[in-house]
Amino acid sequence: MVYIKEFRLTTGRDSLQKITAEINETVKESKITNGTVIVETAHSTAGILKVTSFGEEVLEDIVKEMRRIVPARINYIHQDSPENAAGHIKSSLFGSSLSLIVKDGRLLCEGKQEICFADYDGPRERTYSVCVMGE
Amino acid sequence: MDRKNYDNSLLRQSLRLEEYVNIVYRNVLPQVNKIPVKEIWDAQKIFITGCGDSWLAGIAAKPAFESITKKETYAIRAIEFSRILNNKNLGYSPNTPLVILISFSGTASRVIEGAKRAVEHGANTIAITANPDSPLAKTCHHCIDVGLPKDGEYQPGLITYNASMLTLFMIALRIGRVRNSITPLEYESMHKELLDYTSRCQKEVEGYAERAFEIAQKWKDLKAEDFIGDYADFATAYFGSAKVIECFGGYTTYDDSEDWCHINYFLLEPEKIGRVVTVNKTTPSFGRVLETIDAVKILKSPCMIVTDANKSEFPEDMEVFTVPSAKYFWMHPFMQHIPFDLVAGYIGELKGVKSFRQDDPKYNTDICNNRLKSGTEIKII
Amino acid sequence: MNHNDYNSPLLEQIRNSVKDINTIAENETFELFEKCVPEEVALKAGNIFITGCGDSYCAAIAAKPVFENADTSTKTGMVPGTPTQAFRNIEFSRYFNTYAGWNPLILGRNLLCVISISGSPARVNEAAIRINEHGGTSVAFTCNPEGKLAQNCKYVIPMTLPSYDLAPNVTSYYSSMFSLMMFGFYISRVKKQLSEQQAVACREGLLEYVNSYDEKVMERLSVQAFELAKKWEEDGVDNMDFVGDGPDYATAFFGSAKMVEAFGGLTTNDDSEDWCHINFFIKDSDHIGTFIIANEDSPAFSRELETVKVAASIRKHVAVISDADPSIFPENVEVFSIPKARSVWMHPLMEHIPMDFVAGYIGCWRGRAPFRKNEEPYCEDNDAKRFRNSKIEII
Repeated sequence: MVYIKEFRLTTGRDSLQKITAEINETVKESKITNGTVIVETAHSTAGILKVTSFGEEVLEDIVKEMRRIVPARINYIHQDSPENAAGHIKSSLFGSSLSLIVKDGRLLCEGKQEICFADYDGPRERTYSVCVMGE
Repeated sequence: MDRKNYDNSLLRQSLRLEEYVNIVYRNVLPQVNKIPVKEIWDAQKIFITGCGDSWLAGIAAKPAFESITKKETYAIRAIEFSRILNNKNLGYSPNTPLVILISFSGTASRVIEGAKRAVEHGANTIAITANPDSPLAKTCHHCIDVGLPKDGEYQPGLITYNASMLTLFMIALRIGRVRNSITPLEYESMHKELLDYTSRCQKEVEGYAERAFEIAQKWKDLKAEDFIGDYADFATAYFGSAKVIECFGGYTTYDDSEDWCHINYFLLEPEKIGRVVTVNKTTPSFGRVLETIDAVKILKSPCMIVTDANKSEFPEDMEVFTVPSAKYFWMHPFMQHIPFDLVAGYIGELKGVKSFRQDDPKYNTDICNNRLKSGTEIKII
Repeated sequence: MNHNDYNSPLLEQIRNSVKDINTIAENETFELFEKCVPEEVALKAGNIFITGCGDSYCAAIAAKPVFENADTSTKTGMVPGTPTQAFRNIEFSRYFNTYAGWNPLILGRNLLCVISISGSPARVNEAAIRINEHGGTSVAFTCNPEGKLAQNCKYVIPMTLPSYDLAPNVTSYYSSMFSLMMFGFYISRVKKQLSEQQAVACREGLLEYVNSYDEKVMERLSVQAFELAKKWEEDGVDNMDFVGDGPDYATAFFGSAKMVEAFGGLTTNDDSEDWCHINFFIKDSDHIGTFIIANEDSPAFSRELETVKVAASIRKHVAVISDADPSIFPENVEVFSIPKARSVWMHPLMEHIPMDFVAGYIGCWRGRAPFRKNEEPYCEDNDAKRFRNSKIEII
């Protein structure tokens, strides 16, 4: 069985927005107890990340470190804007989809990790999709 | 009197404005997006220059540049830029200032002169033109071709004024986007509003035309038109004044709301002078303009007000053109010139006068015809 | 009738110009500026703004090059000075930096010169309060050191002004301009952009230029203006436009304002380039009087000369104010030959005189009260509530 749902959200600048609750809700709605979930965003300057759930400072570190690894420089060949060019690279490097395991109707990572929507060129209106597969 | 018998160029242009704005928008967007990020990043100051309506488009777009890019922006007369401005303002840092030069033909000598001066002194230059093969386009580092259809009707300038302003707005948005002084969300919303605002105003044009025709009948024998506007609205004031001259060669004058109280208040026969005021409810000098309108009332001058504020803010006997509000304050000059343009167009027709003195051979001599191009020496200071 | 048969407070001011400027100069020495604005304040001024209403704004435009260039040796002046902007009063009070924001790093280096003879208009006071609130320095140029403006400014330059009966003001214009120019020399001297001797030479050069308008020159200009005014009146000239570039635009603007104040004449002004794009098309070309200022050392002179030729080809009434050889202008143009100045920026102090005379003579003939005093409907605002009692808003 396959169950797909699309979500919309408004992001901020350099934002990591938690979407774990929405994914759990989708799993529940799907009535699938064992299987996989794919979370994906089709935007090219955004991503889906799995991060530790211990405190906000981890999220802050991730954003800062990403900026260090891929700074918004003015000399990218892609000339939309420095943030946008860096955003494309971050999206490719850090991924724009995730696969997760569902066991007994719950996400296996529940309680230990958070799923986040990352916007590398926000704020913007964004979308992502959740696809639950299994039985 | 049947309004339909007094069709005129400004009316025809106004009725097709949305169509042309969309054409220019589509043409300009990819070109603006090619302005290199590094050059945008380098620009510490921005100068906008051009002659006549083009300079006014610069004044009208200045608040957009200031609020979107947060950069010092100067809208400067063409002769001031090419001959008077001190050299030390040019090229003191790479790609600085960014100089935007506007000429639709791309052949106006003074604008070419300004471009050459800017290039020689190390500034970065962008031409806004309808002629990408013109001397101006070839002189500047970058050229934005507004892409207006060749067979369009553009005189007296109305669509060209909007095309200049729209291109300037889009350059400001590009700079804001690159420099991150506006968010991507704002960027998208501002782009959308440019087209939506045009569309909202376009729906009103027929109604404006009806009222403009009534005013034109009342005003056609007045001695002069006197325009009042502050900052960006000063561009609308000056533009209206230019349309009076172009359409029917009338006498006209203009000033800001403060200096008007010091000078033009004293003009003789105020009852024979039509006063045209442009003001928006969010403009910082709104209160001052209301006071100035009270002084106009003392003089019993016929008065037309173009505003997005409530009619009840103004004296009852004045002709208030309430125009749609834009979501972003800096867009107002984009459309607020239209009501008076229509008045000017109708007065020209009612008087039976041809625009630009085409009916007078003395304006058609070599010295007159060459006054903007081959008849004027290009001199680099 | 002879030009000397006419008199009015306006004509009196013009005829006494040279004497009055010399009197003003006696009081306005470098010592006065040192006393009024301490050297450390002048030294700190990194951005200079000048504002005022009407004529005061014109004086600001005229004096701007002095602050920017501090010219000593060259005709156009390229010694770096201090970045300076002349603002319409409403633009400084309500719009300057309102949208782009104030740069927090340079607030203390902003210096605003505010000009008002009476010190009472709301807008000038608003400008002074605004710059103070944004951490800058305000300097009042006023004849009323006890007035509102003086109270609202951190520093005051007390200007001296000979007194005349109510008339369009000429004295206040050159007085403001002279004071501003002196302040410009003073700042440049303090910043060592000018040596002591160079600053003194600038002042002397300016006064030398003033004094070159000797009795003979003044008489010649007066006669010529009288004849021109008579002809324009006879020919039914009912609109005038004024053309000038850079600092000479101040003269054009000022000239147009004098016609309005003296007799309510309809006027407009523009630069030499835009005139060719817009005012060129005014229809009733036989009834427009056009004044064009075209001095030989102006960087825009070649364009001004072209504009004169175009204007002369379509209009009957074109007057040029110039220090160039009159024979280079078309024959049908009335050329007011004015003395040459050591530097081009000095001209605005005196070159307005021919236009003032024209305003003065036409004012006498038309018999209208200056500023329509006690005339209906203007007198409903005789006490100038429209600018004195205007609401002050600080943005």
